[in-house]
Amino acid sequence: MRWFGIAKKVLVVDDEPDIRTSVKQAVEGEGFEAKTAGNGKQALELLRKEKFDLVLMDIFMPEMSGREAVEAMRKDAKLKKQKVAFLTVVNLSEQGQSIVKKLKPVDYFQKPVDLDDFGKRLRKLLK
Amino acid sequence: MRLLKELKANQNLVLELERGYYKSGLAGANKIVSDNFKSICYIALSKPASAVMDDLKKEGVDIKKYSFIDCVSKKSRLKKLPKKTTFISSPKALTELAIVVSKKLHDEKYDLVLLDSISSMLVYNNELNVVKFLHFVMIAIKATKAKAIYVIMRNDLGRKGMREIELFADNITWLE
Repeated sequence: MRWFGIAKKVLVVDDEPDIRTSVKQAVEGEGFEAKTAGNGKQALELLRKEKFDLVLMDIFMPEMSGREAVEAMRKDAKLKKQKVAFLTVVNLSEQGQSIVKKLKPVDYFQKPVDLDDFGKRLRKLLK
Repeated sequence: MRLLKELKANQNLVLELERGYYKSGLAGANKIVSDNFKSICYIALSKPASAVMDDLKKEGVDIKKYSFIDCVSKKSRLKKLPKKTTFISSPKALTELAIVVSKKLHDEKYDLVLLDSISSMLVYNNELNVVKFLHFVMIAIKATKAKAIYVIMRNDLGRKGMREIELFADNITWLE
């Protein structure tokens, strides 16, 4: 999705290389630019160097989980308004929903995703 | 009777025990569940099923209600196999354990599953694998009418990688 020749940028964060690749391809298939990171720590390093329009964040990851990474973003003056959507297998309990809500994600995708629905919601988030 | 109240309200309950009160806390929890549930699956990761059975008998718990999944004993080395016990090859074999738990939940219709304990699991496995295993089992429990208690030492719940349990467990409780 280009706006005056500049594609919107998405950061895909997942520790599973196959999932990273397939989500990256799905994002690019929608016309957006995508980069990847293997855990929350790598994501934070990238986000401090480059601007992304959206982060698609897994939760269960080694070194730094998605939840910890978003908590760190919300405390960081430069990253606190970063748009983040979770993309995860985690089936949240009621308690989990209220914890995640406090992290202010713009969406919550449950893996495995339906590609049509994923594309539709992604376009809406990056409008 | 906090535990019983929590079990009425929640399906997947993490039970936090202080290290010094582990044995008495576990005995208390078993007394409560054996008085209130008909069919219990006990996942033994801390000690062999036969030792757990002896402990339960000493506490006056009705062990007829119990079936065991023993992740500690080496089946081939046992002279006499305990009744109603399924053996797992190693406490590191989380995939094998997950398959056995979900099959038993489907076939044997337990009222309650008691996992003793997450802390023992953490001795043999990394935190991420334990969290993923617990997530899998909690989803399997949600597909049934069973309740489940996952015992953990208070210090272990505070470990960095274990915070994610809060996201999918229904609640975390402790004994009064």
